[in-house]
Amino acid sequence: MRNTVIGIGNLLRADDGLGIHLVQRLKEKRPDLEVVDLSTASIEMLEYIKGRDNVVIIDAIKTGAEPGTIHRIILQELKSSSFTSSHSFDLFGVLLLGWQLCRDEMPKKLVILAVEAEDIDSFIDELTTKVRLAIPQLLEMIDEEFKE
Amino acid sequence: MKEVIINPITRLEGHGKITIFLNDEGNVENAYLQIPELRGFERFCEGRRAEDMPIITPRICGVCPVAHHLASAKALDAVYGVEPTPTAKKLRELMYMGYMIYDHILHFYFLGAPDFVVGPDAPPAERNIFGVLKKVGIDVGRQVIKHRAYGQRITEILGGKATHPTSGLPGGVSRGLKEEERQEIEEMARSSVEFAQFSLGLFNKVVLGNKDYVNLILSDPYQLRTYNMGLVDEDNRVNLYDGEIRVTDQRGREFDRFEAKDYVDHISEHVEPWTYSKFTYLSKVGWKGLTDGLESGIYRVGPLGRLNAVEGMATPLADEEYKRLFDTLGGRPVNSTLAFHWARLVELLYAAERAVELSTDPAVTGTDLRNPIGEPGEGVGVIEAARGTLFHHYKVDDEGLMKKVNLIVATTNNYADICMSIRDAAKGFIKGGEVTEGLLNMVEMAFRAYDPCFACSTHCLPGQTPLTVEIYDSRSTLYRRLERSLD
Repeated sequence: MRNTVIGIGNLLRADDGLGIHLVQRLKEKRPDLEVVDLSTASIEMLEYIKGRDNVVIIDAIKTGAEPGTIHRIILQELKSSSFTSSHSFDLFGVLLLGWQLCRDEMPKKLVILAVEAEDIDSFIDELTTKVRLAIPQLLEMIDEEFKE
Repeated sequence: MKEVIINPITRLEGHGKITIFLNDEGNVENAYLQIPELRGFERFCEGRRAEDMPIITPRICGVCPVAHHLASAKALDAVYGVEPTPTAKKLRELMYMGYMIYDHILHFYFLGAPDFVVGPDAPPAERNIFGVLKKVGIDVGRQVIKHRAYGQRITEILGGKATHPTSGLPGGVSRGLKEEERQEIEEMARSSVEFAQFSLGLFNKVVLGNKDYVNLILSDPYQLRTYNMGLVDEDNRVNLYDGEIRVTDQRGREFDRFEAKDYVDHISEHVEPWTYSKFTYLSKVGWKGLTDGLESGIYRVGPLGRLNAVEGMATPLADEEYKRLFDTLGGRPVNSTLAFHWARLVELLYAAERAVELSTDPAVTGTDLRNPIGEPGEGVGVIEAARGTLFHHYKVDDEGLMKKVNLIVATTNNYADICMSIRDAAKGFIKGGEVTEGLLNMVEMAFRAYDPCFACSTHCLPGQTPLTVEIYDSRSTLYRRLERSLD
């Protein structure tokens, strides 16, 4: 089994760096997992999704919920009609492209764990307290995702 | 015209937002694109260890980390008064060609091609990479993905990590190249040369073979007669990694030439009250507002700016393509904003050819990786990022801690040009206060050519940077708001 955790975000923009902070923690805690630190959910991500069995993506999100809230999103194959954006290329675009170009190599399971951010604008390499307090639960959830 | 008074409260914020101001007649007076502001980052760096800068600065931006990494390493070379070893210079440049290959491929196929391959009038839902794949086929799509990944792999081998390289140090690099790695790079570089040629062929067929597209490229709203800037070698050819900064005028003649360390004497910054972003201009010419021509110090950087600022490419196949571009579009300089896309492909070919040259140079596997450094001081590093000239300027104290940081990124160098291009494109679609269909498409094409970087805040969810256009009337009242985003 090839299990991978991908952290997304900007380490220097407060809570936006959550995915990167988490990946750094996982390197010590779960040496059995492949962990990847990416800035953007752009096409480069495809290289770390292809050929894996089970992928968890960690990111910050802003939905208006209480900061620190963890959202779990299971990604299933998208219909192309749901992609209506011109030019910009995001996580869903990456996955859609993967399913079009290399369907056989795409993971069986793809989950996003997204934590509601409080501050994603300040230039600071630390998380806000509410987001930092979500990390223990997030680590437990990651363990859960990779249980056989 | 009635003066438009803008309250400081209406400072523009947010990324990818365009604001258009109308005059009393309801016609376009000015337009601005909001770009990220870097002062917060510059302050963030102050007090940190100078040697950490090549690791910290690539984190500014998810799109051009390798450019920041090497601009930073070069600034530290200057800070510590050290020249990198010959092998280290080659390894840095080879890593840089990997970045240029992947970035230019990404821009052309994912961002530029949708407008041309799918068509400028096609609905937004089709003007994307998937629309491109429908036209050119899945196999071409696989080649795009493969060669983009090759570029990334080259930076990974040489940089230590794929996205955030760690190898650049003052005086050289931290890791050398093994023979089997060199062979792998050579193979990927050779394949990228062929792919770049294929891409130029595609552009030739789809864009140049279509009279309407050629007319669009040459049409008035997409012309800007500015100065042009780029790094050059001693023969005035493009050098993306190193060299002197050359500026040419609207007739293609050399106007200025200087070393990175002297940039403050040649480039000035203009600040407007309504945006935190600064505008750069040529000090010798001066700031005359958002206008082009000989009297205005605004200049362009990036693929088209670079090709306009040089007299040729330093590799044979790219040099032929360079000549073809200028022969076809009426000689140097070419002022058409949409020609950025073509120029980008010429540079893709150059980067791939240069990667072959460097990876087959016997010295590239040398072991002279780093020269000893001197005492810290002040230094400037310059490099041609995919989007244009990038400056890192550091002042370091005796303890080796950062005292002052100034960055001029490519999008800042092009900021005035981008605003003017958006304004000119919008003019055709807003008359007497009436906004006609097609505004968003044409405005989008105007700024997309420059590939402005919004990636400084990179959280991916909900995932989109929606394009927002706000139109204000002459009393600075919001008149209309147009938005395009994911449904």
